[in-house]
Amino acid sequence: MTTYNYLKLTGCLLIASCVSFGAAAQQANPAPENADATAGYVVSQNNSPASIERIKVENLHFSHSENASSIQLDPIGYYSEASLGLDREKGSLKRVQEGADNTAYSFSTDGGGRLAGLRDMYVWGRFSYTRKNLKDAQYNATLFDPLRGTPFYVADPSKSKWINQLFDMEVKAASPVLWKHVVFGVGLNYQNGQAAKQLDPRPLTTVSKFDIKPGITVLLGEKHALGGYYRYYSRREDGNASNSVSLVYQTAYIMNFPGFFIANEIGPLSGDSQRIYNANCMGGGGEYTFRSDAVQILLSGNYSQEVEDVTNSYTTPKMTGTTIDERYSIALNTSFKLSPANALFVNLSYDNRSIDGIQYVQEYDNSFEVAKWIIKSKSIRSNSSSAYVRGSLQYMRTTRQNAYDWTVGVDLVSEKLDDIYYFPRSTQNVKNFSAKIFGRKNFIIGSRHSLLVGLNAAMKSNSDSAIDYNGGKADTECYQDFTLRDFYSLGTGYTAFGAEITYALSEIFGPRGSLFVAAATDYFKAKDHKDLFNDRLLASFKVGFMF
Amino acid sequence: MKNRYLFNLAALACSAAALGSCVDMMQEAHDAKIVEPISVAVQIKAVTGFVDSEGNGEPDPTINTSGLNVRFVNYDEDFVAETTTDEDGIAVAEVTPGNYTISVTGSTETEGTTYYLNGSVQNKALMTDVTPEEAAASKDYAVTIRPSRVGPLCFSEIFYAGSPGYYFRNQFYEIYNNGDEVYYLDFLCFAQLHPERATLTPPEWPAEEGSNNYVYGKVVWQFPGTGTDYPLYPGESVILAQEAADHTKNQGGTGEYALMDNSKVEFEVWSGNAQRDNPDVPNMEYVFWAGSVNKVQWLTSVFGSAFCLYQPGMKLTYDDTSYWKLGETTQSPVGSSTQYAKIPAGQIIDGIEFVDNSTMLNAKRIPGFVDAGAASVNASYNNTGVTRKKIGEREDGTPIYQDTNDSTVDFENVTPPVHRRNGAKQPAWSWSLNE
Repeated sequence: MTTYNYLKLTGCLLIASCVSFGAAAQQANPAPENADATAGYVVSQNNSPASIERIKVENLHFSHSENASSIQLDPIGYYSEASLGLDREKGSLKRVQEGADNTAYSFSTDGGGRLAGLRDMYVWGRFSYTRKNLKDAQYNATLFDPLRGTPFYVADPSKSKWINQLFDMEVKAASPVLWKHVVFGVGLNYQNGQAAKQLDPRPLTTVSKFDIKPGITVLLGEKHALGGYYRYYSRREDGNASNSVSLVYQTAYIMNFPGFFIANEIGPLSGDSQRIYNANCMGGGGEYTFRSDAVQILLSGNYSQEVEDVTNSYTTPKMTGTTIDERYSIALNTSFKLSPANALFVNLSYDNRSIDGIQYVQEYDNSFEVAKWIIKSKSIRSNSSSAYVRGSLQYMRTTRQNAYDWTVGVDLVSEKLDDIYYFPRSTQNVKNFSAKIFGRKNFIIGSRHSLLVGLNAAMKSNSDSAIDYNGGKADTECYQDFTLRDFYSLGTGYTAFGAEITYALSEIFGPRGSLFVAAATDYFKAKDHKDLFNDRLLASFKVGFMF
Repeated sequence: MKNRYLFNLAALACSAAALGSCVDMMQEAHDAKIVEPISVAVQIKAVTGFVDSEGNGEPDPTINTSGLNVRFVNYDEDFVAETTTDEDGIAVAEVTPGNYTISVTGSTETEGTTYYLNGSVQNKALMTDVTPEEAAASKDYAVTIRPSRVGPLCFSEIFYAGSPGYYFRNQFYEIYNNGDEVYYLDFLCFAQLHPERATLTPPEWPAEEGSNNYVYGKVVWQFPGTGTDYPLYPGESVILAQEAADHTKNQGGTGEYALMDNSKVEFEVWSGNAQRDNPDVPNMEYVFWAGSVNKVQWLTSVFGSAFCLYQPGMKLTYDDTSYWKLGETTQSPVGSSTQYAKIPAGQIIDGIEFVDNSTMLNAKRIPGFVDAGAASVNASYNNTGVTRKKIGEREDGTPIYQDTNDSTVDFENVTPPVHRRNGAKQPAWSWSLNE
């Protein structure tokens, strides 16, 4: 099965990788008819990190829309990049299940453009491979990503090392404008990953996800457009914690919700250690676009609902839980071309997520004809919800050909987290506000060299947090060390500072080829709960090519 | 071309099936409503006579069932609700719908004698509200308890799990006089109960056996003596070992040395293996063995078995067909020809049940009047035993142990297990004192 998965991976990898290279062959294509240099269309020039950042900021549909077909509304040109990355993060200011000292290696490629041979059909692709080494991660013996939202998993208190690998590939394609009014598009995303815990109890967790989003955009004259898309994805995950040192039993917890769990032992002769996740999601969204020479507006709304069943065995499956994960969001993204040299971007969004946790009452029917778990009843036992209001404002001085001279901006986020376990009724609520200001200056040195230097400062402040626990496990290690500590981490404020620097050398391998080397660091210092949390240092290094 | 159409049709059918399955899954999830706690009443009925298989038994009006502690335990969620019975013997609790083990513990004094009032029902589905009136009118919501006399003897320490490396020969069982009178061990029987391992699917016994009137022994050992040969005074204990050897000299499969020097115990429960006999240590005599005798060793489950002490008041003999008779002193489960020793509730002095781990506490297989709960060391081959909680001391320094007939609360896990913890004394007749 593993070999088969890798074969699938390899195939998808090749397809996704070829997208950007295929687009490269079309680089001499003229800009589409609806492209207008004053509206932000970036003609083919030297690529650099600043130019690609500008592409992504200016093209609202490309960056903010889930509807692949609407990319045709963006005056986006060709770009392509490939890079190798190294990320480090270290420090105690983190969620309990995150590693304390992590290293990630990555390879990624990303690019797209219009294909002249297909009447300017737009194709974009992305591929990334990431290998993460986590150290001292706790309370997870099942999941690839323990923070993805499911309350049903097996946890253990050991500080463990994990090695996680993820292949992630995505393709978006938008047809040419058909019948002068209609664009069809489709977005595909395939992920396949493995996570291996390095300390007993140790699962080898596999995860795969296939996501498809067909969409349509209808142009209503020159300035207006309406679009919509449908979404379906399927995700599978399987983790079975077993012991390498087979004669020693390991403490584990069967989690139903933070603070509500069953103490367990995983060993050679006992243990409920396997979890099999099967998720299906359907959703969709709509959007309205306004375009003029000076202003672009994208108003969009998205809704999705994922249902995930969790069982504990392939042979005699017992439902250990089901989640209904409902998400909706509305967003307003705008771009103002104040003058050929000045651009302003304003983005506002509201995201809401609600996860119901369903538990079952079951009885095993051991009669020969049946021999399986029978569901007698089920009920929603918990809910976790989150709501985010985000706002961002960015000014960009666009006087460096297809890149920019400098940019400044501010990001604001209001976060509200509410968890409830209905009986015995227990609640936890957290409200946070965070703000970040940033600025980047693009220094051009000679005709081929550039240096992009950035600084940022951020803060997070907790305005309210409360926990009211009425379960029977308040004095246990799992509650004190996990549930309570994680609650404190969610409501811990911080101050942060960061810096980044990117050097780019252009006109290598031809006029569009560039080499870049980038380094960035961010430092977070906890303001609250200093007995539990201190700081967190993030550092990343990247080297790559653009062509 | 035709093949291509077929392929497209098949692909379309598969896509439709997958989508249909996805929609079904979502609809089923949406059938769930937010949980509403339910108020459930149960009536506690104290029965001294026969209880039929339907749970019908004549309540004994002389037994007061008010003020008993009632625990509703949902092992699937590790949820516990505790309450007490009212003057009518009715207990009401607020719980979520689920499968519950309802256990009752308490005691009463009658004519100067203390009786336990313990009982339990396992895996009772509680899905809707049950009013006290409904509980009083329906046997479905009744918990039958059987008064049992507080005996002086109890298990004080048991080591069944073995040592790392699959080493299991060091199992031992310590029986303690927790009372204030001498108890003569002569004729006392020590039984390993059926089924050997905790299970969610216990055996079904013939209807004429009724409910909770008997427990069934797989292997029964009897102390020697003729009546007053083996006195056990208050504060004294007697230890039985699977193999009376110094196991600290032996290594398990991991190379680690095992625990327990069992070479000085009072009795060896030896089943006939000449290579495993310690000639210095008196052997207990097995008087019953379901199926054929295992002459290699008497190994009880390292996952945890269930045991009881009972007093038949006479000398028993293995294979005595005049005594061991099907339906009278033995019984076979429905669908099986294997006979097990039929032990009347009235003869039981103490009992204890072990389960694999805390997630198996809903797999109790012996009646609540023998043990209202269950104990576990949660693993096997982990050098861990159970010991009874000490709640006091006699003037001579010997311990007084907690004995509520609920091993969930009476016992705690200990690593390593030891003989005669807390200063328990050795009986004067013990062979090792008279070498």
